[in-house]
Amino acid sequence: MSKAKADPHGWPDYTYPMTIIGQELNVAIDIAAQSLPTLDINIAASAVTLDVNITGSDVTLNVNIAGQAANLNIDIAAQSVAIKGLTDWAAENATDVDVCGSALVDSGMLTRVVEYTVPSGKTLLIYDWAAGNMWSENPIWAKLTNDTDAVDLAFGGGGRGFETPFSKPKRVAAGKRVSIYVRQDSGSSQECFGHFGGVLL
Amino acid sequence: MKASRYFREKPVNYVNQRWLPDGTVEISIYKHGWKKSYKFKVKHFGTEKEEILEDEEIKEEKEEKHEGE
Repeated sequence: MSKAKADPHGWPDYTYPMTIIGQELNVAIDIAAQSLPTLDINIAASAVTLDVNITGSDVTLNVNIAGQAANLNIDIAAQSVAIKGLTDWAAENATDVDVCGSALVDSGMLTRVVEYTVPSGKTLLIYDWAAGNMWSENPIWAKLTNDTDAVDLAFGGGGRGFETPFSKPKRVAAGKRVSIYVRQDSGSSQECFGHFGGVLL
Repeated sequence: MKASRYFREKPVNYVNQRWLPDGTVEISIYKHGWKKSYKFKVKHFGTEKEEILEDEEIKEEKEEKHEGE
């Protein structure tokens, strides 16, 4: 049933192939080991309760899966399930941020109206952005740019302005500078604005 | 902490920027729970020559608590 063998470090290794059959089982398992290469848990029962209770002033639960193929199937059928997606979670736990700016934009000149640098230790997720002409019906176009890396994140344009939500947020790392540039070609200077909204994680 | 430093180093909820024809930028920042927004004015904003012209001191209980973190 079991074997024990000497370990180079002086610790015994234990291998317990074990099969337990019973109408009712209570199994409490505490494992303290330097490494735990494999822990297979296969449960087949008409009723299963697997309680995972974590209590601590500071808890980190990291689930890392590395494999050529990984299938994580979660099927939940319940009258009430509380699982929060990123957007809802971020609304409660992240710092929401809205940055607005306006400037007098000369005709034909691409002009910056918003500048924001992501604070240290934070990641900015941009969910929407907008730009417009505050003075007249003349068309504008604009670009949302990561200036630090010289990467354009989005372009937009419209009769007097536009607002664009992103189906997936634009991610900008700490220390990177995000700007909105606006151009209008009315033939005269126009006050234009830009805005982006998102969260800091 | 001055508003300009807070803007660069800390998360805020709202930022308003007004880019003026003289090359300066008026910026106000606001965070949930603050009593008011705080302003600062910058010349050559976002460049190596950036120069702070006006800068409000942030006086908030929430801010003071964060200062010690």
